[in-house]
Amino acid sequence: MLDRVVAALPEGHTWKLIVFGSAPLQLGLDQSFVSGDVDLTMEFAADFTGDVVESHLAKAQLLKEQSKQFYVEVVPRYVFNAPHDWVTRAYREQRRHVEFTFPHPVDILVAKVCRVAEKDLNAFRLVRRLTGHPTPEELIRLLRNTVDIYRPRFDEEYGGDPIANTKLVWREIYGAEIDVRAEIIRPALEERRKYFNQGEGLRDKLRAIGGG
Amino acid sequence: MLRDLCWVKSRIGARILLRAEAGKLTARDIRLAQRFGNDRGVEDRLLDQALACIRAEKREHGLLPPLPTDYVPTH
Repeated sequence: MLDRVVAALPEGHTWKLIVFGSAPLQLGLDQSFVSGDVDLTMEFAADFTGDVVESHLAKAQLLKEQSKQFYVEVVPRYVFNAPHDWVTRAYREQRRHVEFTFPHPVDILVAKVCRVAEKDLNAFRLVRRLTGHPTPEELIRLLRNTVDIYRPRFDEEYGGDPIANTKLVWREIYGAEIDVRAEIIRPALEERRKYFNQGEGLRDKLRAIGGG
Repeated sequence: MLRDLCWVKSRIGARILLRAEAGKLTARDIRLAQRFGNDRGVEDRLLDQALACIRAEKREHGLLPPLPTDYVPTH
C-alpha cells in the first residue's frame, strides 16, 4: 500500500509523511494485525497540505470508497496525540521521493488512549506480547509526556474520556488499578511548574521593598 | 551593546533584592523597587535569571563561595 502511495505522489519533491494508527504495528510487528485504513499525516511545517496529498491519492484511487482492500486516510496532524518526544523514537524510511516516518509502537499505543476501542486494546496486547513493552512504568512516563490529553474538552468538542480510558487500559493490560491524577497528571504538571514558575514571587518581593 | 530594557530593569531589580537580603538598601533602591516592582516588563522569571547571573559574576570575582563540584541547577 505504501509503495502505491509513493507511486501516486509526483516526483521532484520530497514528501514527508507520518504513518500512524495500526499500520506501523502491522508492518513492524505482526502482518496479521490489519485494519481497513492506513492513517497518514504530516508535520505542521510541511510545505504541502493534506489536501494536496489527498488529491494525488484520489487520482490513484487509494482513498476511502476507492480502494477495496485497504485505503489511505489523510488526517490533520493533531489527530495523532503522541508524547512530545515521539520523534526521537521514530523510524524513518526513505522510499524514492517519499520519506515515511513510523512512530515507535509505544507512541502509537499512547495515541490510542484517547479512544481505546477493543481493537486498540488488542494493539496493546499485541505489542506487550511481542516486545514486553510498555511496562506500567514506561507507560506512565509516556503518558506524563502527553498530559494534555487529560485536559477538559471544549463544549463543542467530541471525544472520549482519556482518564477512564487509561484506567481501562490498566485493568485490561496490567490487571491493576491506576490513580491517573496521582500517577500521571500531578507529577507531569509539577515537572512543568518547576520550569515555568522559576523565580515565583520575586517581583512581589521587589514590590514589597518599594512599599507596594 | 544594546540591551533589552526588560532585562536591564530586571538586573537592577535583582541587585536591589540582593541588597535587601544584605540589609544594605538605600533610599534610591526603595524608590526603584517601587517603580520596577510594578513594571510589567520585570517578571519573576527575568529576576530569577538576573539573580543567577549576578551570583555567577560574584563567584567569578571570589565574592561568593564556588559551587559544589556536583552542582546541578534546580528550577
